[in-house]
Amino acid sequence: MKKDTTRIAFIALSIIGFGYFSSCHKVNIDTQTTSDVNIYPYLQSKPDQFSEWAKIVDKSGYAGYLTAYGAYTLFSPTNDAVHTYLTDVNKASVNDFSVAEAKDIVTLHLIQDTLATNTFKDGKLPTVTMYGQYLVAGVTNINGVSSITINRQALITQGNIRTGNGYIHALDHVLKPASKSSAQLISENPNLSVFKQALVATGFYDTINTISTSTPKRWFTVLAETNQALADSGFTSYNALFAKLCTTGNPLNPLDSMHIYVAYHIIPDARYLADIASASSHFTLQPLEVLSSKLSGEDVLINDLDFNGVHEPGIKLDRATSDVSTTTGVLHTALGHFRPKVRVPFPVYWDVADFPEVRKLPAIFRRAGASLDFAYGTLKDFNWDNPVNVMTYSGDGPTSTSFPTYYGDHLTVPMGTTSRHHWIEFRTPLLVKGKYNIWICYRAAKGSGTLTSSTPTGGSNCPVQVSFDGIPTSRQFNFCIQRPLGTDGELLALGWKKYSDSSRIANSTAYQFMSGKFVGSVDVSTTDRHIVRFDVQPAAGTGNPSNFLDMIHFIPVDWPSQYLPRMGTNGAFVNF
Amino acid sequence: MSKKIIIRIALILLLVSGVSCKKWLNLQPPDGITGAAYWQTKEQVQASVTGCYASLLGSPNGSRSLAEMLFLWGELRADMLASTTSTINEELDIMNVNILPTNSITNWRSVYQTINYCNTVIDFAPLVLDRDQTFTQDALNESIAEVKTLRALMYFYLVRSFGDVPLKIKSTSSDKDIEQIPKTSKDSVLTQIVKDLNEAEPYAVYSFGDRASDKGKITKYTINAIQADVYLWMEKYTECVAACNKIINSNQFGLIDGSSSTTWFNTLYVNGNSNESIFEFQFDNQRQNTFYPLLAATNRHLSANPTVLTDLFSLDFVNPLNVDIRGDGASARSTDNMIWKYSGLSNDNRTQRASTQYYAHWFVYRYADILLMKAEATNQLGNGQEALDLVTRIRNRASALAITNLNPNASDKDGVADFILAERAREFAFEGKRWYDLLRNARRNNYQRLNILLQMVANTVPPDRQQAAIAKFQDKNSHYFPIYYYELQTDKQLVQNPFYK
Repeated sequence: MKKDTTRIAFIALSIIGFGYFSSCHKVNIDTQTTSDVNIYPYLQSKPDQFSEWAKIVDKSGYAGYLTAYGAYTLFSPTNDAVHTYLTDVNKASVNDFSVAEAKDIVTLHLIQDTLATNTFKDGKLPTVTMYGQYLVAGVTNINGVSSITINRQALITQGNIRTGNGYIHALDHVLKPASKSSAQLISENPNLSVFKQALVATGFYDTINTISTSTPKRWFTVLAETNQALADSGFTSYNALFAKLCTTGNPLNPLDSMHIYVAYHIIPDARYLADIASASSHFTLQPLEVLSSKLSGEDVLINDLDFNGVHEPGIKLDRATSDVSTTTGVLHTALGHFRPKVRVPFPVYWDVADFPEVRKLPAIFRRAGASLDFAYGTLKDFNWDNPVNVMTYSGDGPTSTSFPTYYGDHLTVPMGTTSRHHWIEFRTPLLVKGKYNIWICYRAAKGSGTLTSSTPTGGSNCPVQVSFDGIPTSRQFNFCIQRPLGTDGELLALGWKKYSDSSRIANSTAYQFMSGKFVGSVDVSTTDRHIVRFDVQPAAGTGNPSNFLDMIHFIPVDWPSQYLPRMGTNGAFVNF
Repeated sequence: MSKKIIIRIALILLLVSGVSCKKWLNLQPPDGITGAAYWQTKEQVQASVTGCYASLLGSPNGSRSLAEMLFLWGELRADMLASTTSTINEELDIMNVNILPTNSITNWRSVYQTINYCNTVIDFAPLVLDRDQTFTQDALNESIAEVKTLRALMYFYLVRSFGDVPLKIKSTSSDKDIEQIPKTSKDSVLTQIVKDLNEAEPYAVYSFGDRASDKGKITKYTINAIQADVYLWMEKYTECVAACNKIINSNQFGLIDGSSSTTWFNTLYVNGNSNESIFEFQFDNQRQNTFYPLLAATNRHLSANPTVLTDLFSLDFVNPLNVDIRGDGASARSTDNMIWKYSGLSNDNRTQRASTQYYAHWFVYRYADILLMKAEATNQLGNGQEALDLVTRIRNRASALAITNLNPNASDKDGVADFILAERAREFAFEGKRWYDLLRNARRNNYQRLNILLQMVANTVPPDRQQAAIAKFQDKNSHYFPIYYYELQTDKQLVQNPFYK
């Protein structure tokens, strides 16, 4: 009996023991697709760094949606940064902020986009903050250590903290919004006093002093000239400037030169130096007058131009005192005096086969028999539809009788509706604003069939619609039609000219293929470089391989002659 | 009775021995060799050493090949490349000085893979001495010298690209060898490199007896070339000159004649293994390089910067036949700025390799490099005229244009250094050396000439990133890559490099 009890006890113990050691463990099943936390929970999870900032976010009422999914970038000042800020604004603790104040602080640090630090450029961040002011990124080097700065107020101490709904960048200072308008900053700066008087007199002072509430918000970029810059150009006082520029006596008159001068210094957009340097021209408040800009070494230059063969040195913007964010936009300082130049339209006889890329190849450029295919994307000023196609440069030499082209060279641009170029775009040289006639000057030829002066009935065909800045010209031209015979006057009436030196021989059939075709008149609204585009027309079908383009002429409509001078194969202009 | 028992036992024994389950218990894989079964014969040692060289051509699964990596490390941060419409973001980020630790170009695994192969040979080859009586101590020393040098070369790339790196000189050949190790300082890594090279030098061979092996495997001269480069980096100029002189005085190498640019290009670049070459990665028909998609296809990632041909090599506008042979048709093709050293099949009519012919070698050291390294070192030692004479030799071979002759005064140390730097850019265009050349010159004498880098970057990054890039380059830590994030996750001992925290 006793033995049985022991046995039973032993068995029971064994079962319990077995059960104890082999009990079914609770299986952990992941019920979430990710363990990444979102922005606000992340802040809470790092109280040693962000507890104070989390309190401000909480107070502002944004904690809720920074916990939910979305795409945000939050700049998060550390606890030390918040404490410094509290001292600056004389508050005892973060609880002393009102809800509205907390909202303003947080929205300035919050962007509705995911921006990692590699998207930061020198200037403003690509997306505006929810507060409505752009933040400006940059990099500074302090004691050999480079860090990214935001608004020149704070350094990023830890960047690119990836959370479920966006990025957090930790800051060592709280960001403060710009509190003054461009106008206020200009009037506070004694070095800009003359320019300020000009602003007031022309009425633009209010333009850059009032914050526009319209959406999208209207920003202004002001390029203020220093007193020194004006003095260097002979204007030691506002009165001197007034005496020289104010032609009507009323600076408020939009036609007054003083008005134009100031309007020309205001760009209707927020453009930091990086934006100015990376675009080539900018519209100003003066209608149809553009500022051109470029980066030369490290200098940002305004209106540094080659005009009609003469180099006009540009005006430098001062990096140290530029890129200042204001409530109305951006303020830059120019170290020189500039104003729109009065330029008279003059003819541009544009040799399309003369472009920087081919000039670098002395073995090809203007060499008889040389030919070179330029691949898609290698030419700065030409663009076309199909990356597989090329632009061919061909040298004819100065003595060619079959290709008596200007400077003995031309472009070969096969066009058609199938595999050849569907369209081609050219960027013109600088054209002064005015009204011009456009002449397409080409060497007519047909890949197959006989060349005539009328619409081809057999063989290749290549009608082309030209457009200028996107506006189609009134007439088309056809690479497969040659110029008819006739005197200069007769031809002009038909919209043709003998543009080539060789083709001037009266009524000779020998050079009929050298054709200048009038395609229409255009109003060039700004003094700038513009886009000419060729679109092949459906009638072309597969088109023509032998499209030989030599020149494009822009001749002011009131110019004394539309057909003189004629163009020599050696590059000379011939005036008969 | 006992007879019956004996019969029964005999039957049982027969049964047992007949159906034994020996095969079931065999753990050796039927289709491979395990470590325990390997390292038995000298042929196996030879095969392993060859495997180390082969790893230079290949890539671990999914990552870039070593040659491509070295090209990207040596060129992306410098000033000779231009982006195209197909450049990927990671490449652009490095060109624009925007490197994040998530950028896979900073993943060093292909380099460490080769290092581990070398470590394996160093650890296990000595075991073969006892197992194969025909394997001699000399043969062992030779093999160890080769792999030690290869390891030193790999660490030299790492230390120049990352600064402090984990120094692993024991093989990881089984799971129990996996360990987490911290970074070792730059100086200690360099010390190890010098030590490896010095240990290897006495045992390495002068020649393997055939041209291909001499250029594709490590000889004494390869070791001297690496020594020269390492000493130059460490600013030990006397040692650098001594190492260069060993190669120069051997009279085994020379500059390929440049009087016919066509023959010169064919010999040096298209065919490879020329008399000028010291060490190359020998790609061939079966094992091609990866430069076709990167540098040559229609949607290639990278082109030559247009300024390379126009400014660096320059042009003679009066006489178009007067050209630097290293320019158009050798370094790059002018019509589309395609990098030509790896894509070109001819210099005169500019025929491109077919996409199946991408096996141009990767040039690690050439004789021209030795001459220019010596020039750089002697100039630092105060012998400017000798340096200029060496540069002139390189320039004459290439018919360099007079306009690119900076003509510095022999006593103007910085002027001569700048001239050598520019000449190196011309001579070794797109051979993965430019960034290291710039950095070496900038960091000399405690970053006395940081301006070299600042001026360079001001011209290469887009205008809207220029100021940020200049400010970043003022931080010396930014000149080194970050540690790839995956390495930080797997090795908790690693600490991210300072600029990238």
